[in-house]
Amino acid sequence: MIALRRVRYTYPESGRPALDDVDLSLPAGSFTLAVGPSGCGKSTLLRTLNGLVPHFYGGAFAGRVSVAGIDPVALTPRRVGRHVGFVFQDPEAQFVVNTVEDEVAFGMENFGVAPVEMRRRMADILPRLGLERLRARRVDSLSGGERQRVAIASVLALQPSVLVLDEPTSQLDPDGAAAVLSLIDDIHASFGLTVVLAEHRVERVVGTADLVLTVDAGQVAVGAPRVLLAHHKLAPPVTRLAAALGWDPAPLTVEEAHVFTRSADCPSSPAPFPHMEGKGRNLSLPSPLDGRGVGGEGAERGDMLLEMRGVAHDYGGAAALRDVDLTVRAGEVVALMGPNGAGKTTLLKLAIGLLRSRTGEVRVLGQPVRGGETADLAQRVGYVPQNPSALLFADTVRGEVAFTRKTHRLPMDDGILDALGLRPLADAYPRDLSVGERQRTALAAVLAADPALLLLDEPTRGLDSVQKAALASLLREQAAAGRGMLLTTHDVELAAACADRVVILESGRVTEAGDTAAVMARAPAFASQIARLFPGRGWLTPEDVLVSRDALCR
Amino acid sequence: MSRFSRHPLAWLIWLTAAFAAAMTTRNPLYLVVLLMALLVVYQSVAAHAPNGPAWSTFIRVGLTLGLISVAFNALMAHVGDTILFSLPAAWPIIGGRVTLEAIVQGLIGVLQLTCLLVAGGVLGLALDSAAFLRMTPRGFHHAGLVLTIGLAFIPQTVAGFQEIRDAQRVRGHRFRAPRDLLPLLGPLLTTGLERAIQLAESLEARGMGYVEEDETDRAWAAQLGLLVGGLLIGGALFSLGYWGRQPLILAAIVAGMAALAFTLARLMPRSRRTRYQRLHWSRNDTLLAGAGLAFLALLGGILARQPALLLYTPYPRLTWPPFTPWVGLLSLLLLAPLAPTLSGSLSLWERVGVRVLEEGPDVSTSDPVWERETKGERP
Repeated sequence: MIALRRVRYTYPESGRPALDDVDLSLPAGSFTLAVGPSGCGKSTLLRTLNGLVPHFYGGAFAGRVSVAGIDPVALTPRRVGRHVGFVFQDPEAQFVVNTVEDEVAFGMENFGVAPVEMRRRMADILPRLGLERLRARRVDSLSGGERQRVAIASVLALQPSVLVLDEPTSQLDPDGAAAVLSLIDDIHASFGLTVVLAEHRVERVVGTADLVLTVDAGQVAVGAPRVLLAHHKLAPPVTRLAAALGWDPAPLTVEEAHVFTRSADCPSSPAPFPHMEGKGRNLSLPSPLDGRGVGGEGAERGDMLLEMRGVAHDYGGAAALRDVDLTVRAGEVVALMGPNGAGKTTLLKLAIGLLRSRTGEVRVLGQPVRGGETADLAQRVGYVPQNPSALLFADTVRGEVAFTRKTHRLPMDDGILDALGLRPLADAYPRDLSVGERQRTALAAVLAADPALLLLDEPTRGLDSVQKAALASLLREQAAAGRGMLLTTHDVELAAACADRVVILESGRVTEAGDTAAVMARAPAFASQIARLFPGRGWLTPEDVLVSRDALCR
Repeated sequence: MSRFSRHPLAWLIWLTAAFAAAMTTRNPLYLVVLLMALLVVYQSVAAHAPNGPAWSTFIRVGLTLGLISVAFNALMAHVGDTILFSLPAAWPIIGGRVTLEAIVQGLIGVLQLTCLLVAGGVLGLALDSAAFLRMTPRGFHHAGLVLTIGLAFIPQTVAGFQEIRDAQRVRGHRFRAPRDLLPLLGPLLTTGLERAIQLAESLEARGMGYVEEDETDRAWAAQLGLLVGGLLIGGALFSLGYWGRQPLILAAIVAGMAALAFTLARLMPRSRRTRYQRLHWSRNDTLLAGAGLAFLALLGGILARQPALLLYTPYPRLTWPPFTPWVGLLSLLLLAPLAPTLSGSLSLWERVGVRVLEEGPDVSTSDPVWERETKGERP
């Protein structure tokens, strides 16, 4: 069905090939998960399947590609669209018209499908993707998950035999992502499609894939998930734990791993939990939440940096936040989680004075914030937006740091580059960097002012699990240095790896709050794999298990 | 949005009528009646539209500019008999008398501008850009699509600008001089380009511009035809001003139009695009277009026979404007968009009925949900 022979591709003005002599063969009807570090050539490989590489990007291409019996390179992408459906990472960036129905029809119109046939396909596809009731809605009024379903419907309407998806769930909350992925699995089974899907959060998809395609530095390998992922650095947390504990065959999902925990070779000791040295984590028994808020529950580890009491906000009458209490103290990392549209970004904007709270009180370092004094607050509060590109404009990484120092009238000091491992890139142009490096550059630009409180909006966008682990340890280091951090994230594994506390917002209200372990025990939708594998143990990451197990088994 | 006419052509006729009304008289009494009629239509269309607030911002900005122009007119036009005060004659441009008449003249201009803005606002609320896209002839589909996407990019760019400005402000950046804009414009430009590239990829992957075989020679011919036609007509119109209605010039106009028509006819079969949603012409559309055409005909009649009925100027001395009741009441024809809401749900059923018969599902159930959720889901 899909075959690549000796494919070699180099982007224009790039010295080294993005794909280097790739040979690949995927059978018809297979579901393949593409795994690889960010910037490894995964997206490039996917784009060869519909001819966007090399037609859209230019560059030097050699080798043969055959997809569903056609040659996408010879045929050009706009003709391949009927055979290969391509779903992009950001659904918003691919919408052209306003309503769901028009959007789904757009591709069919381009290919000149007869109106009667269009209506027939529409009647077939919309109900199968749960879009029947949304057909007249404007796409900008839909949730992230619904939008991605529209994007998938609009390519399925062309009746392709291959469906390629490039990180389709990276912008979605855990529930939305699960719904989209189970839909893709359904489509794969019922339409008999060949599916190729790239995903950084491997744990979300690995259970449904027949094959895994690993890409690293332009080299690829294809094989059974269990074989290829057993010792892969990007494997799901349970698989990495299994590798460390020698569980065989390597489990890929929490369900598979349960077999091993039941017959664990190590005596399972009931509570109390072992104290975790050096992580700065405050593990404690799950305690029932008193009232709605969080304040006071956290450890008294430092000064109060951010304090919100009874905060509410609305946009033109629609309530975005209701009666929210939240605190962040020096030296702690607080993760703010919840579905898309729950009010997480609104909360961050209140904390930096970009918005004014309708009721209640917001205090930063003891000073009340009433909105509008952002410039004064900036000395004490740092904010890294969701898209780091929104900050970066200087010619060099060092230039970004220098700019922040200058705006705060501080003498030039680029020591932060060492702390974030950016010294070798100090003179690089920020926009040429990889996603992870750009994220670190934005972080350096904000930390250069040495703020006491750091706010991060979805910092894991586009990061692979190795980069995420690096970010987590970086945030822990910053916390150890006495900074307080509040981050919004959909990534349960990041929260597990670095948060002291988790606050869950739903429909503008705090529905869960407390120690990370306690919250993950109570809210399984927001729990890490390890937390679900060992319920009630307070372990959140493979490292937690290994440290504790060594302590227990010694 | 549910009960109003949805056909762009009907709305365009209505808009032409409203624009013509606002442009053909400077009599403030007629303009006030017109403005009130337009505001009533605006209000009731806005109540059903998801993008109401954005348009009202647009109108507010327009009004502010209009008021500035009043001050401008008062300070620049030193004509009129009722002198309020005088500025020293030595002051360049603004020196001289400031008259009541000049202020009234400026206010009439604001009234006209407001009528135009409100009428345009009604159209922006009643139709989405896709409706216009559907109306473009097939040969021009790409141009129409590019325009639609361009229009969609404006609000996205504004949102992007706000995000970047917020991020830089929190970083401590203050805006004092033009060069302080670099940290804003740099990221805005690059993120905008990134988004454009993503969209272009998506368009390419979804068969935008798909043609069966290579037809580049026909594309060349089409471009040449458009160029020749455009040049002939443009040149002829230009020459008209110099030499009047010479037969040769008129012939050039006819030839130019023929070239355009020929090119269009050749372009038509080129794109194999089909249309999912055909535009249905309903009774509401007939009503709206009919009222618009009737208004235009009556206005044309007045202009041809009794143009003095519409004339008014505050100069040289302010007088009370004349008012002929039947002329003023003509504006009520522009309330035609509201007719379906007055005549009950008949027309709604007519439209829903058509779709139910064609496609099965009942879309009338989705409308209330849509309205509720779009109101509740603002960020």
